[in-house]
Amino acid sequence: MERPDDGGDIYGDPGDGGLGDDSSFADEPLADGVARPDAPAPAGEDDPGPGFEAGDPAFERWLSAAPADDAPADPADDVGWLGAVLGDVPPLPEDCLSTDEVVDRVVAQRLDDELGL
Amino acid sequence: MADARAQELELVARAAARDERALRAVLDRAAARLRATAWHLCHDHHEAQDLLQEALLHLSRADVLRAFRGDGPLDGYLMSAGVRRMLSARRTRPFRGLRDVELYGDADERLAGGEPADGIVEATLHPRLAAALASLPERARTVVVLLAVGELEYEECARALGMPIGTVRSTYSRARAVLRAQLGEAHHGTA
Repeated sequence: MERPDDGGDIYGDPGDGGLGDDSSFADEPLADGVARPDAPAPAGEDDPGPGFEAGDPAFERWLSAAPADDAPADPADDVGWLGAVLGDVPPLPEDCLSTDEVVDRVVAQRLDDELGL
Repeated sequence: MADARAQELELVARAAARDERALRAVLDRAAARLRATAWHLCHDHHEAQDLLQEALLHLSRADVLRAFRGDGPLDGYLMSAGVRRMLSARRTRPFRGLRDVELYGDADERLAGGEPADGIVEATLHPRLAAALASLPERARTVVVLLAVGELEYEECARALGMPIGTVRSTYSRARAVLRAQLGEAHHGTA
């Protein structure tokens, strides 16, 4: 399947009016604890992050052109349709570890790390 | 509330000190939701397992555990930090594309097998939902998955993605509208 985030213009062209240019969020206030993408990583989060660049033209084009919907105040209210359907994960294949087994491995590895220090 | 938060801080402190039972309890709180989120990000069980392991190893680091200050729910902190780690890990791997064949390959069988009405709706909705999700930009799809599967709140999602909370809200709002439009009658049948 083709990668979907190719910035296709099925939702319209940039500058075509759409729902306005509210996708330009450089000056938008951040939630408490939300770092700017170029800000230093907080303690314990020294990974580079998800890699979504601010000002990505393809994403901003999509955001400004797509129709708006009434998002609930609490996303948990979506359980009636989106959350319920998305939350269904197919059964694991036989060669995959269960979630409990993955936890067991991680705990064992961390304890081994500690003993090896 | 204060008591619950104090208990979470105490649990995390013990986990950071390598108390095996505490560490397991902390990881258990997030593991199932992280796995479901990982699967919805890649639609591949093996990759999801790798992402889950990577996220849990990250969460089990003493410095990551000690970074929890108790100014919000522990579950939200674990999900935000774990999801952020999974997304970082995905950056370093070649994108293998969303796989929907193996996931929904039994839809026809389930329909032919006379599943109950709910099962039929579910089986017929999934491929359409998968296609609708795949039509979204990766950033929008990630927001939908984090909110609807990861059960993150807007602020937690914003923190995990490094996005302003207003952008998370507007992205989710637009993604919902696109999904509703593409799902059409199938969605109305399950709302």
